[in-house]
Amino acid sequence: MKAKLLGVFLAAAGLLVASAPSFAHHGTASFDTTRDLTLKGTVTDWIWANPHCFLEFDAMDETGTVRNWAVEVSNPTDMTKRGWARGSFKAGDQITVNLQPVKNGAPIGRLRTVTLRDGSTLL
Amino acid sequence: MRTRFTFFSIAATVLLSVVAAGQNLPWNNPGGGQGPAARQTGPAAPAPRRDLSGIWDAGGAGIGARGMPAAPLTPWGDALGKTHQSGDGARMVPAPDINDPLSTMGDPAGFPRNLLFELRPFQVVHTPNQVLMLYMFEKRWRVIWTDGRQLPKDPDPRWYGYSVGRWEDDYTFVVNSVGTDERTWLDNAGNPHSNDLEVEERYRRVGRDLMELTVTLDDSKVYTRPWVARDKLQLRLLPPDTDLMEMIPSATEAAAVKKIYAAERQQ
Repeated sequence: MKAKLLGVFLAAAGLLVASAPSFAHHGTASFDTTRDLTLKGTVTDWIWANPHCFLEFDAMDETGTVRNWAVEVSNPTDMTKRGWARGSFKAGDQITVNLQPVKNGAPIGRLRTVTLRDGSTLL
Repeated sequence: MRTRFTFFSIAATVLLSVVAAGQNLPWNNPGGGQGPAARQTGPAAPAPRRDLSGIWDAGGAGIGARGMPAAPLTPWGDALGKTHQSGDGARMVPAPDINDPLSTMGDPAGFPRNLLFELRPFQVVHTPNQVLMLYMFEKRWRVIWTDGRQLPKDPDPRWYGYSVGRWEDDYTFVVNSVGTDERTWLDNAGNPHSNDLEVEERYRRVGRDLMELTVTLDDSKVYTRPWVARDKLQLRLLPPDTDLMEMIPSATEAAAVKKIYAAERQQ
Protein backbone atom coordinates (compact mmCIF):
# COMPACT_ATOMS: atom_id res chain seq x y z
CA MET A 1 0.00 0.00 0.00
CA LYS A 2 2.79 2.34 0.98
CA ALA A 3 4.62 1.67 -2.31
CA LYS A 4 1.42 2.42 -4.22
CA LEU A 5 0.93 5.67 -2.33
CA LEU A 6 4.55 6.61 -2.95
CA GLY A 7 4.01 6.00 -6.66
CA VAL A 8 0.94 8.20 -6.70
CA PHE A 9 2.75 10.91 -4.79
CA LEU A 10 5.81 10.85 -7.05
CA ALA A 11 3.64 10.89 -10.17
CA ALA A 12 1.73 13.91 -8.86
CA ALA A 13 4.92 15.66 -7.82
CA GLY A 14 6.50 14.86 -11.17
CA LEU A 15 3.52 16.31 -12.99
CA LEU A 16 3.74 19.42 -10.84
CA VAL A 17 7.42 19.92 -11.55
CA ALA A 18 7.21 18.92 -15.22
CA SER A 19 4.39 21.37 -15.81
CA ALA A 20 6.67 24.25 -14.84
CA PRO A 21 8.06 26.11 -17.85
CA SER A 22 11.60 24.98 -17.21
CA PHE A 23 12.49 23.40 -20.58
CA ALA A 24 13.09 26.85 -21.91
CA HIS A 25 15.43 26.02 -24.76
CA HIS A 26 13.13 23.84 -26.83
CA GLY A 27 9.67 22.32 -26.86
CA THR A 28 8.43 18.80 -27.50
CA ALA A 29 9.03 18.52 -31.27
CA SER A 30 11.71 15.83 -30.92
CA PHE A 31 9.98 13.67 -28.34
CA ASP A 32 7.47 10.86 -28.61
CA THR A 33 5.09 12.10 -25.95
CA THR A 34 3.08 8.86 -26.12
CA ARG A 35 5.99 6.68 -24.94
CA ASP A 36 7.38 6.11 -21.51
CA LEU A 37 10.45 3.92 -20.86
CA THR A 38 12.01 2.69 -17.64
CA LEU A 39 15.61 1.50 -17.97
CA LYS A 40 18.18 0.21 -15.48
CA GLY A 41 21.71 1.24 -16.25
CA THR A 42 25.14 2.55 -15.29
CA VAL A 43 26.09 6.22 -15.44
CA THR A 44 28.82 7.04 -17.96
CA ASP A 45 28.72 10.85 -17.71
CA TRP A 46 26.78 13.70 -16.09
CA ILE A 47 26.98 16.89 -18.15
CA TRP A 48 26.08 19.96 -16.07
CA ALA A 49 25.54 22.52 -18.85
CA ASN A 50 23.35 25.17 -20.41
CA PRO A 51 20.93 25.06 -22.09
CA HIS A 52 20.36 21.50 -20.81
CA CYS A 53 22.07 19.07 -18.48
CA PHE A 54 22.44 15.52 -19.83
CA LEU A 55 22.71 12.24 -17.95
CA GLU A 56 24.47 9.59 -20.04
CA PHE A 57 24.24 5.93 -19.11
CA ASP A 58 24.59 2.43 -20.54
CA ALA A 59 21.48 0.29 -20.47
CA MET A 60 20.57 -3.05 -22.03
CA ASP A 61 17.49 -3.22 -24.23
CA GLU A 62 15.10 -6.14 -24.62
CA THR A 63 17.36 -7.73 -27.30
CA GLY A 64 20.34 -7.79 -24.98
CA THR A 65 22.10 -4.93 -26.73
CA VAL A 66 23.75 -2.29 -24.56
CA ARG A 67 23.15 1.26 -25.80
CA ASN A 68 24.53 4.50 -24.43
CA TRP A 69 21.61 6.78 -23.64
CA ALA A 70 21.69 10.57 -23.28
CA VAL A 71 18.68 11.98 -21.46
CA GLU A 72 18.18 15.66 -20.87
CA VAL A 73 16.83 17.64 -17.98
CA SER A 74 16.60 21.40 -17.62
CA ASN A 75 19.48 23.81 -17.08
CA PRO A 76 21.70 23.92 -13.95
CA THR A 77 19.76 26.86 -12.50
CA ASP A 78 16.40 25.11 -12.60
CA MET A 79 17.84 21.76 -11.55
CA THR A 80 19.44 23.44 -8.53
CA LYS A 81 15.98 24.61 -7.51
CA ARG A 82 14.88 20.96 -7.57
CA GLY A 83 17.77 19.82 -5.39
CA TRP A 84 20.07 18.48 -8.13
CA ALA A 85 23.77 19.42 -8.26
CA ARG A 86 26.89 19.15 -10.36
CA GLY A 87 27.89 16.24 -8.11
CA SER A 88 24.58 14.34 -8.20
CA PHE A 89 26.05 11.50 -10.31
CA LYS A 90 29.40 9.97 -11.08
CA ALA A 91 30.45 7.40 -13.64
CA GLY A 92 29.62 3.91 -12.44
CA ASP A 93 26.52 4.84 -10.42
CA GLN A 94 23.71 2.31 -10.80
CA ILE A 95 20.44 4.02 -11.70
CA THR A 96 16.90 3.40 -12.85
CA VAL A 97 15.67 6.02 -15.28
CA ASN A 98 12.15 6.80 -16.38
CA LEU A 99 12.25 8.75 -19.64
CA GLN A 100 10.41 9.91 -22.72
CA PRO A 101 12.41 8.91 -25.85
CA VAL A 102 12.84 10.87 -29.07
CA LYS A 103 10.67 9.88 -32.03
CA ASN A 104 13.29 8.42 -34.35
CA GLY A 105 14.57 5.62 -32.13
CA ALA A 106 17.91 7.17 -31.15
CA PRO A 107 18.95 6.48 -27.54
CA ILE A 108 18.13 10.04 -26.55
CA GLY A 109 15.29 11.29 -24.42
CA ARG A 110 13.90 13.55 -21.78
CA LEU A 111 14.37 12.36 -18.22
CA ARG A 112 11.34 12.16 -15.97
CA THR A 113 12.73 10.56 -12.81
CA VAL A 114 15.95 8.84 -11.82
CA THR A 115 16.25 6.48 -8.86
CA LEU A 116 19.63 5.85 -7.30
CA ARG A 117 20.78 2.56 -5.82
CA ASP A 118 20.04 3.80 -2.28
CA GLY A 119 16.39 4.23 -3.30
CA SER A 120 16.42 8.04 -3.39
CA THR A 121 14.68 9.60 -6.35
CA LEU A 122 15.39 12.82 -8.21
CA LEU A 123 12.69 14.36 -10.39
CA MET B 1 -6.26 6.63 7.37
CA ARG B 2 -4.08 8.32 9.97
CA THR B 3 -1.02 6.47 8.65
CA ARG B 4 -1.84 7.59 5.12
CA PHE B 5 -2.19 11.22 6.22
CA THR B 6 1.13 11.06 8.09
CA PHE B 7 2.86 9.54 5.07
CA PHE B 8 1.60 12.24 2.69
CA SER B 9 2.49 14.96 5.18
CA ILE B 10 6.06 13.70 5.46
CA ALA B 11 6.40 13.23 1.70
CA ALA B 12 5.02 16.72 0.97
CA THR B 13 7.33 18.27 3.56
CA VAL B 14 10.36 16.54 2.03
CA LEU B 15 9.44 17.72 -1.48
CA LEU B 16 8.74 21.28 -0.42
CA SER B 17 11.95 21.36 1.61
CA VAL B 18 13.94 20.36 -1.46
CA VAL B 19 12.27 23.06 -3.54
CA ALA B 20 12.63 25.68 -0.80
CA ALA B 21 16.28 24.77 -0.24
CA GLY B 22 17.02 25.90 -3.76
CA GLN B 23 15.60 29.33 -2.99
CA ASN B 24 17.46 30.19 0.20
CA LEU B 25 21.05 29.47 -0.62
CA PRO B 26 23.67 31.88 0.77
CA TRP B 27 25.74 31.16 -2.34
CA ASN B 28 24.69 30.40 -5.91
CA ASN B 29 21.04 31.25 -5.38
CA PRO B 30 19.00 30.38 -8.50
CA GLY B 31 16.31 32.97 -7.82
CA GLY B 32 12.61 32.49 -7.24
CA GLY B 33 10.39 29.53 -7.96
CA GLN B 34 8.97 28.50 -11.32
CA GLY B 35 5.58 29.96 -10.48
CA PRO B 36 4.87 33.63 -9.97
CA ALA B 37 7.58 35.09 -7.79
CA ALA B 38 6.33 35.49 -4.24
CA ARG B 39 9.33 36.52 -2.17
CA GLN B 40 8.85 39.32 0.31
CA THR B 41 11.58 40.95 2.34
CA GLY B 42 9.22 42.12 5.06
CA PRO B 43 5.79 43.61 5.62
CA ALA B 44 4.18 45.47 2.73
CA ALA B 45 5.71 48.92 2.55
CA PRO B 46 5.45 51.95 0.26
CA ALA B 47 7.82 52.35 -2.66
CA PRO B 48 10.82 54.61 -2.17
CA ARG B 49 10.88 57.69 -4.37
CA ARG B 50 12.88 57.53 -7.63
CA ASP B 51 14.69 54.36 -6.67
CA LEU B 52 14.73 50.93 -8.35
CA SER B 53 17.75 49.65 -6.38
CA GLY B 54 17.76 46.00 -5.49
CA ILE B 55 17.65 42.49 -6.91
CA TRP B 56 14.42 41.78 -8.79
CA ASP B 57 12.95 38.45 -9.85
CA ALA B 58 10.01 37.58 -12.11
CA GLY B 59 10.13 33.88 -11.17
CA GLY B 60 8.86 31.49 -13.84
CA ALA B 61 7.01 34.30 -15.63
CA GLY B 62 10.36 35.73 -16.71
CA ILE B 63 11.41 32.66 -18.69
CA GLY B 64 9.21 33.06 -21.75
CA ALA B 65 9.78 29.53 -23.06
CA ARG B 66 7.08 29.71 -25.71
CA GLY B 67 7.96 33.14 -27.04
CA MET B 68 5.71 36.18 -27.26
CA PRO B 69 2.50 36.70 -29.26
CA ALA B 70 3.81 39.26 -31.73
CA ALA B 71 2.11 41.72 -34.09
CA PRO B 72 1.62 40.70 -37.76
CA LEU B 73 4.79 40.65 -39.84
CA THR B 74 5.59 42.73 -42.90
CA PRO B 75 6.78 40.80 -45.98
CA TRP B 76 10.39 41.70 -45.09
CA GLY B 77 9.85 40.55 -41.50
CA ASP B 78 8.18 37.34 -42.64
CA ALA B 79 11.11 36.49 -44.90
CA LEU B 80 13.56 37.10 -42.07
CA GLY B 81 11.45 35.08 -39.64
CA LYS B 82 11.39 32.10 -42.02
CA THR B 83 15.17 31.74 -41.58
CA HIS B 84 14.74 31.21 -37.84
CA GLN B 85 14.35 27.58 -36.74
CA SER B 86 13.38 27.96 -33.12
CA GLY B 87 13.16 25.69 -30.12
CA ASP B 88 9.58 26.62 -29.39
CA GLY B 89 6.58 28.58 -30.62
CA ALA B 90 5.30 28.77 -34.21
CA ARG B 91 8.76 28.16 -35.75
CA MET B 92 9.53 25.15 -33.54
CA VAL B 93 11.65 22.39 -35.10
CA PRO B 94 13.19 19.21 -33.64
CA ALA B 95 16.17 19.91 -31.40
CA PRO B 96 18.87 18.90 -33.96
CA ASP B 97 17.50 21.48 -36.43
CA ILE B 98 17.39 24.50 -34.11
CA ASN B 99 19.58 27.37 -35.36
CA ASP B 100 19.05 29.74 -32.44
CA PRO B 101 22.34 31.69 -32.21
CA LEU B 102 22.03 31.91 -28.44
CA SER B 103 21.58 28.24 -27.62
CA THR B 104 23.56 26.66 -30.46
CA MET B 105 26.53 29.01 -30.74
CA GLY B 106 26.69 30.86 -27.46
CA ASP B 107 26.00 34.23 -29.12
CA PRO B 108 24.73 36.96 -26.79
CA ALA B 109 20.97 36.96 -26.24
CA GLY B 110 21.13 40.68 -27.00
CA PHE B 111 18.57 43.35 -26.25
CA PRO B 112 15.60 43.15 -25.93
CA ARG B 113 15.66 39.33 -25.94
CA ASN B 114 17.22 39.48 -22.47
CA LEU B 115 13.87 40.92 -21.29
CA LEU B 116 11.68 38.49 -23.27
CA PHE B 117 13.49 35.20 -22.74
CA GLU B 118 15.23 33.89 -19.63
CA LEU B 119 14.66 37.08 -17.68
CA ARG B 120 16.16 35.65 -14.51
CA PRO B 121 16.90 37.76 -11.43
CA PHE B 122 18.69 41.03 -12.12
CA GLN B 123 20.10 43.79 -9.97
CA VAL B 124 19.49 47.51 -10.47
CA VAL B 125 22.23 49.92 -9.41
CA HIS B 126 21.93 53.73 -9.52
CA THR B 127 24.96 55.94 -10.14
CA PRO B 128 24.81 59.75 -10.44
CA ASN B 129 24.47 59.58 -14.24
CA GLN B 130 23.43 55.99 -15.03
CA VAL B 131 21.15 53.16 -14.07
CA LEU B 132 22.95 49.83 -14.39
CA MET B 133 21.08 46.58 -14.89
CA LEU B 134 23.07 43.47 -14.00
CA TYR B 135 21.49 40.29 -15.30
CA MET B 136 22.01 36.82 -13.83
CA PHE B 137 21.36 35.17 -17.19
CA GLU B 138 24.54 35.50 -19.29
CA LYS B 139 26.07 37.54 -16.42
CA ARG B 140 25.77 40.68 -18.56
CA TRP B 141 24.95 44.28 -17.83
CA ARG B 142 23.32 47.26 -19.51
CA VAL B 143 24.05 50.94 -19.05
CA ILE B 144 21.02 53.25 -19.12
CA TRP B 145 22.17 56.86 -19.28
CA THR B 146 20.25 59.32 -17.10
CA ASP B 147 22.41 62.39 -17.76
CA GLY B 148 19.97 63.90 -20.24
CA ARG B 149 21.74 62.84 -23.42
CA GLN B 150 19.70 62.03 -26.51
CA LEU B 151 19.69 58.67 -28.25
CA PRO B 152 22.16 58.49 -31.16
CA LYS B 153 20.96 59.14 -34.71
CA ASP B 154 21.74 56.30 -37.14
CA PRO B 155 23.73 54.34 -34.54
CA ASP B 156 26.16 51.55 -35.25
CA PRO B 157 24.21 48.45 -34.10
CA ARG B 158 25.24 46.82 -30.83
CA TRP B 159 24.20 43.52 -29.23
CA TYR B 160 22.63 45.48 -26.34
CA GLY B 161 21.79 48.71 -28.13
CA TYR B 162 21.87 52.25 -26.70
CA SER B 163 19.59 53.28 -23.83
CA VAL B 164 18.55 56.46 -22.06
CA GLY B 165 16.22 56.70 -19.07
CA ARG B 166 14.12 59.30 -17.28
CA TRP B 167 11.68 59.47 -14.39
CA GLU B 168 8.19 60.06 -15.68
CA ASP B 169 6.99 60.46 -12.11
CA ASP B 170 8.43 59.50 -8.73
CA TYR B 171 7.68 55.79 -9.25
CA THR B 172 7.85 55.25 -13.03
CA PHE B 173 11.20 54.97 -14.79
CA VAL B 174 11.01 54.96 -18.61
CA VAL B 175 13.85 53.65 -20.77
CA ASN B 176 14.09 54.19 -24.54
CA SER B 177 16.51 52.19 -26.66
CA VAL B 178 17.68 52.02 -30.28
CA GLY B 179 20.59 50.58 -32.23
CA THR B 180 20.00 46.87 -31.61
CA ASP B 181 21.68 44.21 -33.72
CA GLU B 182 19.29 42.34 -35.99
CA ARG B 183 21.35 39.16 -35.78
CA THR B 184 19.65 38.54 -32.44
CA TRP B 185 16.17 37.09 -32.04
CA LEU B 186 13.45 38.70 -29.98
CA ASP B 187 12.43 35.56 -28.12
CA ASN B 188 12.44 31.78 -28.01
CA ALA B 189 9.89 31.59 -30.83
CA GLY B 190 12.41 33.17 -33.19
CA ASN B 191 10.44 36.38 -33.68
CA PRO B 192 12.73 38.66 -35.71
CA HIS B 193 13.63 42.34 -35.51
CA SER B 194 15.62 44.81 -37.56
CA ASN B 195 18.34 47.28 -36.69
CA ASP B 196 15.59 49.92 -36.73
CA LEU B 197 13.83 48.49 -33.67
CA GLU B 198 12.83 51.01 -31.00
CA VAL B 199 12.07 49.75 -27.49
CA GLU B 200 10.34 51.38 -24.55
CA GLU B 201 10.60 49.85 -21.08
CA ARG B 202 8.42 51.13 -18.26
CA TYR B 203 9.43 50.17 -14.72
CA ARG B 204 6.67 51.10 -12.29
CA ARG B 205 7.53 50.59 -8.65
CA VAL B 206 4.23 49.67 -7.06
CA GLY B 207 5.59 49.13 -3.55
CA ARG B 208 8.86 48.53 -1.80
CA ASP B 209 8.84 44.85 -2.79
CA LEU B 210 6.97 44.93 -6.10
CA MET B 211 7.69 46.43 -9.50
CA GLU B 212 5.93 46.06 -12.87
CA LEU B 213 7.67 45.98 -16.24
CA THR B 214 6.00 46.80 -19.55
CA VAL B 215 7.99 46.46 -22.79
CA THR B 216 6.72 47.95 -26.05
CA LEU B 217 8.39 47.28 -29.42
CA ASP B 218 8.16 49.44 -32.53
CA ASP B 219 9.83 48.11 -35.68
CA SER B 220 7.95 49.13 -38.83
CA LYS B 221 10.41 47.27 -41.06
CA VAL B 222 9.35 43.95 -39.48
CA TYR B 223 5.92 44.45 -37.87
CA THR B 224 2.81 46.15 -39.16
CA ARG B 225 2.25 47.94 -35.84
CA PRO B 226 3.90 48.50 -32.44
CA TRP B 227 3.19 45.74 -29.90
CA VAL B 228 3.49 45.08 -26.19
CA ALA B 229 5.80 42.15 -25.48
CA ARG B 230 5.68 42.31 -21.67
CA ASP B 231 2.57 43.74 -20.05
CA LYS B 232 3.01 44.66 -16.38
CA LEU B 233 5.28 41.72 -15.68
CA GLN B 234 5.54 41.48 -11.89
CA LEU B 235 9.01 41.63 -10.39
CA ARG B 236 9.59 40.87 -6.71
CA LEU B 237 12.44 42.19 -4.59
CA LEU B 238 14.87 39.53 -3.39
CA PRO B 239 16.81 39.86 -0.12
CA PRO B 240 19.83 42.15 -0.52
CA ASP B 241 22.29 39.40 0.47
CA THR B 242 21.19 37.12 -2.40
CA ASP B 243 24.23 35.71 -4.21
CA LEU B 244 23.03 34.85 -7.70
CA MET B 245 24.11 31.81 -9.68
CA GLU B 246 26.07 32.01 -12.86
CA MET B 247 23.84 31.07 -15.78
CA ILE B 248 26.03 31.48 -18.81
CA PRO B 249 25.20 29.85 -22.15
CA SER B 250 28.83 29.30 -23.14
CA ALA B 251 29.94 28.25 -26.61
CA THR B 252 31.70 25.20 -25.16
CA GLU B 253 28.57 23.94 -23.42
CA ALA B 254 26.42 24.73 -26.46
CA ALA B 255 28.78 22.62 -28.60
CA ALA B 256 28.57 19.70 -26.14
CA VAL B 257 24.77 19.76 -26.24
CA LYS B 258 24.75 20.19 -30.02
CA LYS B 259 26.90 17.07 -30.37
CA ILE B 260 24.28 15.02 -28.53
CA TYR B 261 21.50 16.36 -30.74
CA ALA B 262 23.61 15.60 -33.83
CA ALA B 263 23.60 11.94 -32.77
CA GLU B 264 19.82 12.06 -32.87
CA ARG B 265 19.90 13.33 -36.46
CA GLN B 266 22.32 10.58 -37.55
CA GLN B 267 20.05 7.79 -36.26
